[in-house]
Amino acid sequence: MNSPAATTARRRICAAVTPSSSLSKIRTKARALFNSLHIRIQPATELLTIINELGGNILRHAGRGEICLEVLTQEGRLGFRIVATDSGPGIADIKKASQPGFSEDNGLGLGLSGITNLSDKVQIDNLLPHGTRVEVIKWLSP
Amino acid sequence: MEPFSTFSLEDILLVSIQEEIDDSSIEHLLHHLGKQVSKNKTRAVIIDMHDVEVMDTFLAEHIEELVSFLHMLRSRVVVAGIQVPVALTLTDFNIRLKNVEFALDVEQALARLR
Repeated sequence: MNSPAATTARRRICAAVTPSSSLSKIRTKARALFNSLHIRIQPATELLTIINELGGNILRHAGRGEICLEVLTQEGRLGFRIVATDSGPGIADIKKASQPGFSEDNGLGLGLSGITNLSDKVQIDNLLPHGTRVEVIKWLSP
Repeated sequence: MEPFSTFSLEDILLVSIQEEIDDSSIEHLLHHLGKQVSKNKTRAVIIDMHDVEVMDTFLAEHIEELVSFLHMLRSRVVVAGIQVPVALTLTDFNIRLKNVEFALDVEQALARLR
């Protein structure tokens, strides 16, 4: 159903996430991309919230990283791949981190489970020698 | 420039939050509000969120912290102006903003507080 060959990446934007630039750069670029594609406000809000959440995790746990946003098309439908990477300490228990209520910094502990609710696929990997990569795919309703 | 602004209406304080608010700005806001509330004997604070187009768990956590802080200072708090797409997304994140009173906008919040 979702063969990689049928999924074509068309446009990709990336922005560094740093304490000084915060998330404003990636949010501005993402908004411009959504406007150019005439994405409706609700899915745009959901995508921006996912970006914010991933970016917030980068800033809090790693200090800096990068977020990339790619446009996907598959059999006439539009989607997005969001990839957040950092060189921080990684996530000790990835499975637990995706559950609601779990937080490594005493926050609300809802971030990754909320992202999962809003997305079609979430892949979390610890990187070597250290760091985290989170990939989120969200397909939009026609 | 701080990503928030405050405005006094007699014994009610209106706080407007901009989307870019971060951990350190919230600290400044808490200190600023603490001084204003005790100096002006503020009985209620309206937190206006109509400029916030994206609300994640971090901002939700900050808002809960702000509300809790103001409750400790015996101020009633009303959160106003949460946009519909933001509210829908918060529901998907299972964020409930506990112990928070809501109003559609600042006008409704003021009517409720008078």
